[in-house]
Amino acid sequence: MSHTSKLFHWKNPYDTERTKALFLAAVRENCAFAYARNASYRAILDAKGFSPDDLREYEDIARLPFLPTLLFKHHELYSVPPRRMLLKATSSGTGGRFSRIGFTCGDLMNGVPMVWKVVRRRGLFSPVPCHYVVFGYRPRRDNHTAVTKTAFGATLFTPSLGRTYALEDRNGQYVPDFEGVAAAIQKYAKSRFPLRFMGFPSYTYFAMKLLDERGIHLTLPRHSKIMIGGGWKQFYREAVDKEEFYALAQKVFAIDDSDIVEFYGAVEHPILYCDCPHHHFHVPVYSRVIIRDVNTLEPLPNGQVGLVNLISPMVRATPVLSVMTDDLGVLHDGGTCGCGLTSPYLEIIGRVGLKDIQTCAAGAAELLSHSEMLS
Amino acid sequence: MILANGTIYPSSEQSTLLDGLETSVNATRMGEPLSVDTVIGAIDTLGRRMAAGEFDDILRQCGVESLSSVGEKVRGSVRLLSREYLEYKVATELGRDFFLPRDTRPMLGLSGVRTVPLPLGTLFHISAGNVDFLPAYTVVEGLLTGNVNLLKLPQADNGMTLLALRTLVEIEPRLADFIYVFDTPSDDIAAMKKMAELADGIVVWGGDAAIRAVRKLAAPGTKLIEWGHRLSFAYLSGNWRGQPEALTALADHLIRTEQLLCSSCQTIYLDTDSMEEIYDFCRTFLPYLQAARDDRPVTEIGAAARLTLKDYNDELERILSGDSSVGERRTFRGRHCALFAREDS
Repeated sequence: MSHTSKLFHWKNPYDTERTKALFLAAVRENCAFAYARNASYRAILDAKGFSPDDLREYEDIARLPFLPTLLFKHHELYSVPPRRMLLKATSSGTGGRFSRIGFTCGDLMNGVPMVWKVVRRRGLFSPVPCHYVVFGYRPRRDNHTAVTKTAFGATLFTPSLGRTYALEDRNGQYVPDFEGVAAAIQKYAKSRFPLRFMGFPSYTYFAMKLLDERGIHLTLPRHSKIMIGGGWKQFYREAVDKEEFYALAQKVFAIDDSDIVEFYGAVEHPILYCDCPHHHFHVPVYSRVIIRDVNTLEPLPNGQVGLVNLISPMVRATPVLSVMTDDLGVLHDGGTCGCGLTSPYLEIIGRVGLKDIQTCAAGAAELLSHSEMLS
Repeated sequence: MILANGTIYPSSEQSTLLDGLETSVNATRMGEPLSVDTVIGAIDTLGRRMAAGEFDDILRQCGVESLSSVGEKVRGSVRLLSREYLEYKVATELGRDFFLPRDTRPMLGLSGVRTVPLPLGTLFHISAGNVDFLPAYTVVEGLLTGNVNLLKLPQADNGMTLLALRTLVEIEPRLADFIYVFDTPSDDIAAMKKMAELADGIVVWGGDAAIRAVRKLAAPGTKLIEWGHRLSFAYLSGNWRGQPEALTALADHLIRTEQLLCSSCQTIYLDTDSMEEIYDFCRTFLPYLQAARDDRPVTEIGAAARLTLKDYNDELERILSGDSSVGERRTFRGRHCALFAREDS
């Protein structure tokens, strides 16, 4: 059994303290694999003067060169031949470009015990069938976004009585169908079976707001849940305060905040982060987070804001061992949460800043954004 | 606000004005042509009034914060607005006595013809909004050649354009019928199309993407007049060591524009065969660049993170592109700024 496999089968998914040595061994294993088979990855490590053998102590992980997610948007960096990749997934492409990440069968198999352990802790598996409303895209063959795949995956936690999608496929184009969703919610609210929501927080919020404005306040069947994930992305500036979100869920659906579960992840770091009952993203054993100084990229102590560097040995097909996201976040000491988990927790506070100077293209961009209409 | 025939109208009047635009533009074009001298005279007067400080307060209100910055802008502009400079500009770009009729005198007894350069007619200007006065400047270029000018203000316009053009009309009422300024938003496609249809030429400032978008607006017979640098660079030869002011100015330019404008220097070329001299230049220039950066520090955490991430990503991109194989290269890194030395391939 490989170190990585052992790590993903570790019994307690939040036992980060006792998995340090194993995590280091798995990182070294993954790093050596990519270094041997991926010329691009090797070139980067060589240029940075780093070799997989330099991973001797746990602290050495911080010295491992990290790859920005941006790099995966411009390069297909695979460590295995395409025929060995079972699945290719992409990021949702906010801003036009998306990362392409491949997974081997073994990579995906790592995910199985991870999902099982993390999701079970939050009591999301159940033999009781549920209705599902997905605030996301209806899957189709040419939609490779990870967010669509994971949203669908979340509807497999229980037997499904039916799935309604907020973004419906109409003749090859995705169109939002909030009216359809609103009708479905009202219908399912009368059912004996629980209703579960899964999808983008912003869409979920929008739908709740819509119902609230129409004076529709429902009491959903017992054990109904709201699952949110896929990030606040471009909406983060208007990001609704989480408390407001919970209050609205209580008002419109009579759902307690303990029945609201949030996921965090990225295609470049396909580790399932699931919030604890206090709604904090504790770091699971499969992953480590290093917050880096925005100027020097040096690791920062817990409690300080910086760039979020995510490390996981889960994937071999693509060198996403250590990736630098364009998220800004803080890592808090686990003990301060109070939920009982001791592993540190990650708080995402935003994305790296927008340009503070107007480019020549900006004037044109005004025009360009309407160019479809011009044609 | 809209400026038409020398009068300011509220934006709500747009559709009425656009409906009557063809008639009024045609009437102008049937009437007395605009002489280059009239235009130069008006601009020269505007420049003198600017130099006298008449507009400093308004400029400051328009978003130019510091007095020194206003002074700097005015001094820079006034030179370009002087009669002497404008006459030089017209003569250089078009040739001397360009607007005078000319008779051809062919040999072999063939009959000659008389040629007269005439304005294209009506120009529709789609200007970039990232440089103060650029929208007004493009209209002035149109006026110098006697055209009727329709200007769509960029959304980012801070009011200076309208001020400048309105003052110009006050100085020289004969210009009134040659200047139309609309604050049409870019998503008002119908209005944009109408202006484009009236135009004989569309003057567009911007990169490939902007030009592509404007082509869709233009009728087949309408000329596209493209402006804007695509790539700008600095070229240093001889004794750069002895010119600290030039290095300071270059560093200031690089940081001020963040190298994001078409007119921003993207590369510094050094006229030398010696890599050592290039490294030497980098060592000398980095403190200048750092000083300029420190003068305009990146304080906002998100912006700092973006710059740092970009630097880092660029570094990896260079590694992946095998850039190291293209001659020698070396990085001279400062805080939020860096110099990359390499051979010209």
